[in-house]
Amino acid sequence: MIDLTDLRFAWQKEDIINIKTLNIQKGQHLFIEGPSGSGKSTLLNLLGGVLTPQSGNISILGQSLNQLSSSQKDTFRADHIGFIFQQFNLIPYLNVLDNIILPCAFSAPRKARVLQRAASLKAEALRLLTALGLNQTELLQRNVNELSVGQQQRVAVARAMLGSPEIIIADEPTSALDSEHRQAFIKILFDECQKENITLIFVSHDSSLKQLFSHSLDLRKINQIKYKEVL
Amino acid sequence: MAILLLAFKSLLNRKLTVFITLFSIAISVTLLLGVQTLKTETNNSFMKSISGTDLIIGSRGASSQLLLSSVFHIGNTSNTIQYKTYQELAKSPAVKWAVPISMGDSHHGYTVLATDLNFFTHFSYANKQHLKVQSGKIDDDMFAVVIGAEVAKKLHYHIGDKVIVTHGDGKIEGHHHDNIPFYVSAILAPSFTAIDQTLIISLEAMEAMHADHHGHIGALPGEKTLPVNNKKHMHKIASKDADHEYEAHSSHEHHAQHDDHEHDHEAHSNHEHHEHDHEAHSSHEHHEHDHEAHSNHEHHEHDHDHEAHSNHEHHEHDHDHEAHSSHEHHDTQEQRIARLLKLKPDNINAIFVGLNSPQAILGMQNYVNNFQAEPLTAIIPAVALQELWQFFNIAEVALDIVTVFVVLVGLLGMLSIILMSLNERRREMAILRSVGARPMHIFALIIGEAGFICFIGILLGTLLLYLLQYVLQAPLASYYGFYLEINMLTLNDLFILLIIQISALLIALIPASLIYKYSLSDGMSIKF
Ligand SMILES: Nc1ncnc2c1ncn2[C@@H]1O[C@H](COP(=O)(O)OP(=O)(O)O)[C@@H](O)[C@H]1O
Ligand SMILES: [Mg+2]
Repeated sequence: MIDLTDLRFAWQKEDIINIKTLNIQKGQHLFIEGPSGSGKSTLLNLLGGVLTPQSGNISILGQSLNQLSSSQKDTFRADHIGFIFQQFNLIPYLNVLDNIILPCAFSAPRKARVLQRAASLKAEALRLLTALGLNQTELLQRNVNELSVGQQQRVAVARAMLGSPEIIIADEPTSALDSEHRQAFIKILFDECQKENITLIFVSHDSSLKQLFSHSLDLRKINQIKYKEVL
Repeated sequence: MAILLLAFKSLLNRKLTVFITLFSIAISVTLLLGVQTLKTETNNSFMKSISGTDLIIGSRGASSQLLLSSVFHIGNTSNTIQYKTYQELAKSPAVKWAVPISMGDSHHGYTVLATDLNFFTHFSYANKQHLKVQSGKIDDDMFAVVIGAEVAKKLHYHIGDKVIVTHGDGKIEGHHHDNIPFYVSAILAPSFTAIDQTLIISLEAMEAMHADHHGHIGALPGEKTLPVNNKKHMHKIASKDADHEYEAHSSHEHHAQHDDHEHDHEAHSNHEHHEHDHEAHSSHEHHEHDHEAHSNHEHHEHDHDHEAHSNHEHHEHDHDHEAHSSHEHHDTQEQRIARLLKLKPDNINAIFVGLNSPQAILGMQNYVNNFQAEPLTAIIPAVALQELWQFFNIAEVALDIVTVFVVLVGLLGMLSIILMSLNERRREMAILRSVGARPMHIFALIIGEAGFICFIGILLGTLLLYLLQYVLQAPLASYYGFYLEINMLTLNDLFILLIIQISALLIALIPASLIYKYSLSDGMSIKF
């Protein structure tokens, strides 16, 4: 359901990505490994349609991103992909609830899907938080800065999963967590993606996480660009 | 819409910096609107200084000078015109009324204006409002003084108080006319014109004050022989004077009556002198003219003279019993003589003229400007006020420039807090991008924030302006004699506010396009 062909991307004149081909199946939980600066985030930005490749094509859910205008790509991303980042995933001036339902402000289909399964956005946010192990109702109105990093990351997962997008892209979501929480977090993420049949793309420099995934690959192996060690 | 809500919540999160920016914009808006209000209000009060007067006539010279001296009591009062010119002009068929005014004396820095009683019937300001008496009443006594509201307030004068007038403009210590005290007969209601800072006396009193005359009269034989402590006798002379005036105003029958009364030799000799003077000043003619000019005046004059007469009797009474409430005032020797002589001045400063029809204004102005007997200038007050106001134009423009810069500084303050927030907000922008926000949304977020800050700043500033106006209205009126009228924002004000709002949005283009660029290059990558 995600197909990359002859994908090339360069920041200014510096080539970062050159991938001949990559296929990701629906429902797959894929781990992409690569050291810092190897171009993982750049690749995810290309998948999200935020960056446009110099050449080659990305097709997601049968839709070629090349055929979309940049604003259509933004809409496409909002409709079909949820993102989780390393840390500070949340908008500091919005409370937990508003952070979780934020995608609905930019995607009508996602909002419709939420309302199909739940009575309200709030009810769905609460359901997701409970599923992720944060079951205090009062949490919804809390300022996100009052949460622990682990709680913040779970709120970020809840936001990514709201309205069941087909794909979740996680960019080093566990880097800020200690090893105990890391395992628990990945387990919850897996469970929820499983339930909703969501395709998960998880990138990290931490190769020890590889064993938790059914599928994994090393970016350095598929990328034609030779990774230059950053001092 | 969602993005504006985000902008609002984002601002709410930065309360302190936002509040400071809001406040600086609010203050600059208040200042700008305040200056506009002050400009229109000063202009209004300036234009309201005189109305209903068709022409002001003075000696040949700059019209602004004549306006300043006659209406605002500012500056040169050395340019004079002859009293007989006034008499002649007053007789012109086009002239409905003419009031002579003379200045040059002062009292504790307040202008002393000498005129006749017609001043109160004809002088008007603002929308043809006449001067109103707040307390007391306007006496036709030669040494009565009518004082402006501010004079009364600042100098704590009450009805019946004695007032001594200084000769000269008061800046240089003029010599006190110690011997000629006036008594306060009326206090005028505030008009918020120069009249509030003015003392109004009779032309005769002003003439009497001037040293030349009473020095000269002091040498007269009749004066010398006056027994100093024979008050009753003195008052007979004063009464005689009143009689004489009565005679001047009335018919032959009265003349005979007057002759009957003629029994005091001293008074007679003085009287003869008086007659002589009357001829010299052709005062007699003037009085006759007055009779013609004011059809209903005849009756009034009669009544009035009766009153004056009885007043004098009263005075005599007072002197005997030493008991009177408000009008307790003893004539000095100079005053007694002055009452006797009732001299009109040779020269006055200006004439306020009302015409029978507005169509006559230009013709009359032309006639006056080409007056044969002496060089004169006639100005149309409304026109001259407008011209004079142009002088202030430069000050207005300077004030405008300053306020524009103050507003600019307010907006730049806003720009700087938005710019400073940008770096720490790149993360926020990346998150928004990840949930589907377009770069355009990010752009709108910043523009929205600036627009919001500015809009609230404008509202606050306007609120502050009205608050200030309400608070300052009373003190301005009582301490500065400036009546601040609180009005709705004018179309011009609204236009200015719109310009400020648009400027804020334009200025916000700088951070907005910066963040737009960031969000394109950063994408969803959060670095740091
Ligand atoms: N916005 C950008 N502008 C220019 N160069 C960038 C930008 N973002 C990333 N790069 C460069 O691209 C390379 C890959 O970065 P990135 O994709 O963030 O790596 P990773 O996520 O694997 O740590 C790095 O050398 C980095 O310097
Ligand atoms: Mg990265």
